[in-house]
Amino acid sequence: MDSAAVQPPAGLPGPFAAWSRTAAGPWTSVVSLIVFIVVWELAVRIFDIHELLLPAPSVVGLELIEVSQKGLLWGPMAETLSALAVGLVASLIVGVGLGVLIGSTAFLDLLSTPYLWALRSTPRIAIAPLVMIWLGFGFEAKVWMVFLSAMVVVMLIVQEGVKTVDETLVRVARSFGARRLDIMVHVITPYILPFIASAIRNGLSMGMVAVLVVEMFSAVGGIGAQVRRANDSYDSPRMFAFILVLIVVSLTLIALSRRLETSVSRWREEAYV
Amino acid sequence: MTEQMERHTEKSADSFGDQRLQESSLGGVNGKDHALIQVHGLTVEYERALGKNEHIVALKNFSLDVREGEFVTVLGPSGCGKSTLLNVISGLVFPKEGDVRVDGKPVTGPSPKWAMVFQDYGLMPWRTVEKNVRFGLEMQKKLDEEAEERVRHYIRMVGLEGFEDAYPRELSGGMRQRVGLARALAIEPEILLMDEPFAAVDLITRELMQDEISRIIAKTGKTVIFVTHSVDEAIILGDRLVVVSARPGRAKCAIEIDLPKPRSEHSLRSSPEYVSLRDRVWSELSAEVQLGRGG
Ligand SMILES: Nc1ncnc2c1ncn2[C@@H]1O[C@H](COP(=O)(O)OP(=O)(O)OP(=O)(O)O)[C@@H](O)[C@H]1O
Ligand SMILES: [Mg+2]
Repeated sequence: MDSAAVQPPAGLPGPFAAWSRTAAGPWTSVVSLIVFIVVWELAVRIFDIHELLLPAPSVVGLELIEVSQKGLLWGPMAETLSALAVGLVASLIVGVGLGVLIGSTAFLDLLSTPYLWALRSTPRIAIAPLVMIWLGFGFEAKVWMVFLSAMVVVMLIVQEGVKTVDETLVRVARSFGARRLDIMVHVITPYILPFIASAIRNGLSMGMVAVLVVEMFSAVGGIGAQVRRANDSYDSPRMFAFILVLIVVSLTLIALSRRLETSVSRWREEAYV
Repeated sequence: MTEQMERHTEKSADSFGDQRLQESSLGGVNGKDHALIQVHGLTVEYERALGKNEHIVALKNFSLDVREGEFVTVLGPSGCGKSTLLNVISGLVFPKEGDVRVDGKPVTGPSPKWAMVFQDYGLMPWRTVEKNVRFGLEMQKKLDEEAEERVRHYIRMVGLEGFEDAYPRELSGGMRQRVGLARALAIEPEILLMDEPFAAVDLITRELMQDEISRIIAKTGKTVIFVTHSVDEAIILGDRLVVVSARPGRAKCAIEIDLPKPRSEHSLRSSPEYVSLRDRVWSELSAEVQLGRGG
């Protein structure tokens, strides 16, 4: 999921240029996906690989139908996603607010930056047990985990954005009589919108990991708990089925947030978008 | 404030042409009692970004009086403090010593009475041409039909019709500069502070814009301080031309330009008055530029 946060350069040089152009078509990716599944299926059958090690796509597909019929898929998925949504919204509200405040106040910026980076680089998996000791295994704990993971990232990105606001533009606005609030609304906000969109995308992948960590630790609710249970009973087809769904859901969310990012960044230089 | 401004503009539109004629026939020497902008003994220092206690003295004891309706052009070596001067007059930068008065009142901050055309354009990259031109009006909470009409008018005037919906990144440097000009004109200020507004436009457009500016100024009686690097432009546009010394900048000399208006570079080239004026300005300026480089 983290690798999804890394954007490829706009134009690859040399031999890759042609490759990336053709690969961009939707049909290419569909074809490559089909080829991939077929090769996987054949490999499992030809080499007679045990289900526990690598289940064939057909087995995973059947398992997927089964879990969704048993009600083990969509209910837990809703539980996971709602915790993610609540935590993310909270982290956006708090993170954007604090990011703007800190980014525009030199003193606070200096004071808080080391702590923020310390928090940013603490592996979330390490603080998950603590959060569970404090808050238990329920919805609340998940929301807090998402909040703690995503908020710092949001804050850092927004803070960075506010700090890079073009001084000239603030000056221009003032010369036309803008007050503090006008500058906030007409200069700072439009300038940091692309940063906020990118914060959403990053917060999303952070939050997804966070919520799954809690669920897998606790094995109580949500899709993470289902993965954990399947894992505990060495049910590889089921694990693969859940992971597959998780990948699809995450990619969809990331794609949506990237679309948001593009639409608010339209005014930027083409290379950024 | 805005009402006052409008009334003033109307009044000057009626009476100003004659007044200026009278003044220039008097020889144009300073009418101190008429001075609309009084810049007195300005010293401006900037803190060096890296050094702790180092300062750059951008202006030192700079004084200049500008009469109402006067068009003052400012020439000087690069880095001598011309932009700084405009910033101080517009109330964006505060001097260490000295003060600026407009209409006898000290400048304490920006006002709708004056507008600045910025050297580096200062366009909001997320706003289209039209919205950039509307920016000043928006800040003054003028959003009525008249404001819309002004936006359209000044976009047309700077020749950007058809580009209303373009973003700044889609425009050439000269086009961006014209957006900045239209934005300042749109608030119809009494005073225009222009920082090399035509530096990035081609020669033909430049001449067209010079004509256009002269026409607007003559019609509305605006007072203008116009920074430029072009000696010709300074002479063609100015009622008076000020040469600023190498940094720290002082007003080195002021030259009244009595050539008849409207002027065009084309017709003036052969006039002996123009040629001698040009030579004089050129030598004043080159002395300063060399000083700036040597020191
Ligand atoms: N915001 C600032 N902070 C620090 N130093 C500054 C700042 N603005 C200008 N200076 C310095 O002040 C001096 C005068 O700058 P200014 O921009 O007024 O020059 P200028 O005459 O407009 O030059 P140019 O013709 O190149 O536009 C320069 O030496 C510059 O380095
Ligand atoms: Mg300048």
